[in-house]
Amino acid sequence: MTAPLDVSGAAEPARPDKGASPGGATDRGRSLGQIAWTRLRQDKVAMIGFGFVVFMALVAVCAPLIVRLLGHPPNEWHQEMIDPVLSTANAPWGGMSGEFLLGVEPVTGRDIFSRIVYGARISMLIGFLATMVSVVIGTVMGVIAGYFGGWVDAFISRLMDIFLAFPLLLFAMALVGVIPDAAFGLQGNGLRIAILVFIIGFFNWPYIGRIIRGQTLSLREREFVEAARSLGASNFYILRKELLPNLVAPILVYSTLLIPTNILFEAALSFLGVGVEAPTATWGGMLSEAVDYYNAAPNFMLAPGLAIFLTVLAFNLFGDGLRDALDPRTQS
Amino acid sequence: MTDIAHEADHGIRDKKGGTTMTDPVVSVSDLRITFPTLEGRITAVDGVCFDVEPGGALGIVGESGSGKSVTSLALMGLHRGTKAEVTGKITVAGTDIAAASDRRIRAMRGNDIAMVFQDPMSSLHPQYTIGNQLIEAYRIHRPKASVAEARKRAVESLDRVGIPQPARRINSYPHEFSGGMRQRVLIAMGLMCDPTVLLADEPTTALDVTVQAQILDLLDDLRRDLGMSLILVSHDLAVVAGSVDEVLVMRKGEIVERGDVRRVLSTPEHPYTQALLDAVPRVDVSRAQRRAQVRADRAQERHQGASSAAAQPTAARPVAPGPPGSAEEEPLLKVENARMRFKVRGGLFGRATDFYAVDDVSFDLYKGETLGIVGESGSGKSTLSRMVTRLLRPTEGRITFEGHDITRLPERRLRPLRRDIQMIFQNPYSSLNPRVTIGDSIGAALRVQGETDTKKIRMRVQELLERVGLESAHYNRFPHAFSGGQRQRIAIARALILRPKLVICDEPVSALDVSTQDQVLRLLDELQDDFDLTYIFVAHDLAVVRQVSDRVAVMSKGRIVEMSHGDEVYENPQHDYTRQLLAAAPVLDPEEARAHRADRARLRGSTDAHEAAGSA
Repeated sequence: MTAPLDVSGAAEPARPDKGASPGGATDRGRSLGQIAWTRLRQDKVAMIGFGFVVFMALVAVCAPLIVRLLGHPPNEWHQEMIDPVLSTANAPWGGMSGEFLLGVEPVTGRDIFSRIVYGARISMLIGFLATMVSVVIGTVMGVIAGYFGGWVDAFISRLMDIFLAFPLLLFAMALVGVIPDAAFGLQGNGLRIAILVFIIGFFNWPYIGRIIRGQTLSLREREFVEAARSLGASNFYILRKELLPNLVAPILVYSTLLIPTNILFEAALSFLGVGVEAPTATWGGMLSEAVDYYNAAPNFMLAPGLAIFLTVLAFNLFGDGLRDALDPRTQS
Repeated sequence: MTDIAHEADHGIRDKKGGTTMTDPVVSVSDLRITFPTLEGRITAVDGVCFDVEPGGALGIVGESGSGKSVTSLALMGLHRGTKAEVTGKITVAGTDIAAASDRRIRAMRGNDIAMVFQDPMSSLHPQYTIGNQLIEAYRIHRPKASVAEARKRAVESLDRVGIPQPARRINSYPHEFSGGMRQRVLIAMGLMCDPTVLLADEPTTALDVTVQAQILDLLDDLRRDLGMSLILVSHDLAVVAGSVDEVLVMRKGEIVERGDVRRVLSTPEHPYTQALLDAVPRVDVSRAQRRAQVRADRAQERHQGASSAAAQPTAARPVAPGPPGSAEEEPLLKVENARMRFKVRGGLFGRATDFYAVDDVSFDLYKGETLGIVGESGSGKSTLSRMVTRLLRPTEGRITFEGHDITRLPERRLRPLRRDIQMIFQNPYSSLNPRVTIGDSIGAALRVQGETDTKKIRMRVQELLERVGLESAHYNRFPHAFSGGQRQRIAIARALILRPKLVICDEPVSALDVSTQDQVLRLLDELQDDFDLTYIFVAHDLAVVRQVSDRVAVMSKGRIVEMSHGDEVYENPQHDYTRQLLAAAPVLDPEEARAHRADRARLRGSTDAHEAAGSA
């Protein structure tokens, strides 16, 4: 067929497949994800955020190793570092030295650096897991509400309103106060973490649920969904194969913005004393203990404060960059 | 090719030089505009020069991506402060766009040059009355003018563009107007400060044919009465034919041809212009003529291409199946008294009222024929096609396919039937899932219908990709890597992979450029021969419908007002509405376009008189 005017050059020129796969010579087009990645890489601020997030995740994973190399066990007391009268560090700068990188805690003399490193584990773990819980529930509910509409939508939307009206902080404090020592085959801190994940995750799903519902509502009207229906596709097929791939971007962006919120929430709960139990190191718990010594040992307060601040900031910068990279409307 | 363009250019200037001695009101020389992208700088406009005389009318024509819109934005100085790099010289009414201060540019916009944008739905602010917006446009440039003065001027301006009862309608909000009326309001806004140049960028692309004709007529009137210059930008040569004196044809940022509109349309010098002209669908070419030509072209191609290949027997099929009904054969599809009701919410408390989008429609469709359905937006043609594919369940009536009543079949029982009835959608940008490779998109049909052999699916998809003019290597690409025309080919492949008997084409080419339109129509024609398809072809463009349809149904307000053998609808229209549509269809010959314009004025005059008599 003659195509005198078809500007085939609009698509990238066909590259011969050098790999020569047995399934036939095909070239792989650049997916929207790959394009987003290219754009993300050019966003320096987002990449700095991403770098810090990766760094923090590595710190959390390798905490025992880091502490063995650079510090002391997090719950080991070093009262030889404490001035018995003032009960703060007996060395200048809150005891900061080559041996105690960020100084020592007042009274106990525990290594602040080690506790920050171990605190990262709790923060990241609860932040990630709670976000996953919210994302899974929110996505499922949001897609169902948006796709089926009608009374299903009305029901789920009212449910979201109810969840959002819940006094979450009070509820968390009440619930954590009454949990037994062992339940669901878990005990001690394992149980506490599970409960924290449940509370934070389960009550935050309506935020993401609403976003996904809105996206689904607009996607549902697109012609490719009609096209799939006219091919005889079932609802489940359409949800899974047509809608979900288009929801990956908002889910990803919202997750990266939800994680820091959850980290903050966990810190707040620990600060209030209803988080993970002492002596396990958490950033929020450290902050709460540091309040009494902010004058005498400012490093004790600054270290967890900065850790929370930088981690949350990094996640937010990365999330914003991700949104810009994935959203074709912000193309510059 | 630039040499030719320059020569032609000089020729015209020399000719003009003898008659007009005035300075051009718009002068562009050696305009070059580049944009940064991820893949490096791209040149959108490359060395464009043109002049517009006071009171002159220039048409800029090109496909999407030719740089015509970028050029018109440059005239307004709208690239300032963006990442676009503009070189060359632009002068508009004595203002040098590159050198002028921001203040001077703002004074120029609206005052000297006013712009009418493509989409009247999004160009007006929804929260203000049109009066507010018109008055604001006036007082920005005339700060001393009182509100009452500006208001008086706004009413005059609305009256000028043909808004009925302007003194009352001035207090209406944009959503209370139809698309065509909104475009009139935008033109009225452009006229508020008596600009010397009116720049219209695709002003009618979003509008129906009859409305398009009205807007073009209005622009033409205004230009003559007010002595303005007009720059009309469009992808369609037929749109500019009757409205401009001089035309520029752009391609990939360069001017390939320019000259007097009569000369360019009758004896184009550049092959690209010729190709563009050939691609414009013509109302006066019948289905039989076109099919014969497509077949001839194909036969010739094969002859040249593969002499070893055996002679193909496709031409043996009769050119037109002839008026159906003569044979006693059972119709493939039978639609009887179909109605589709929607509940429309109205009023403060959302009291629902009934609205019939499709009202009492009946027709038979025989194997191998193409039924064209023409109508303007809101006529119910898309609703009807979705009822036939059973994406919608008809409120009343009966739809029979191959003798089976499918009106109320549940989704599960419909699935096997989905193989036989397929649909090609209007917008190739939204009918393909952007996150799925095209191979998977096309193959989805097979998978949904129970095919599990991945290798087999891939083979059939690749075969079909080649058949619709793409490469099998495109299998793993994503839709964004393709142009509009290529996407529509992909959508066609998806509709055909199940080997359907009936294909419903819902405005398959209306989102495409004229040149791509022609290729897609040819492809559909060829596929009909090769796959033995029956089409329902829905479109708002009369010319397109005529070229592909054996029979044509004209729809208006949910009803079929006229239906008969294609040529008859066009040569001997029975219904007033059909006549109106035909008179509104744009034509390529400038003389004929002007004759049509006169006809329309007469037709309008008579209906106005009619209405006046009726109301008296």
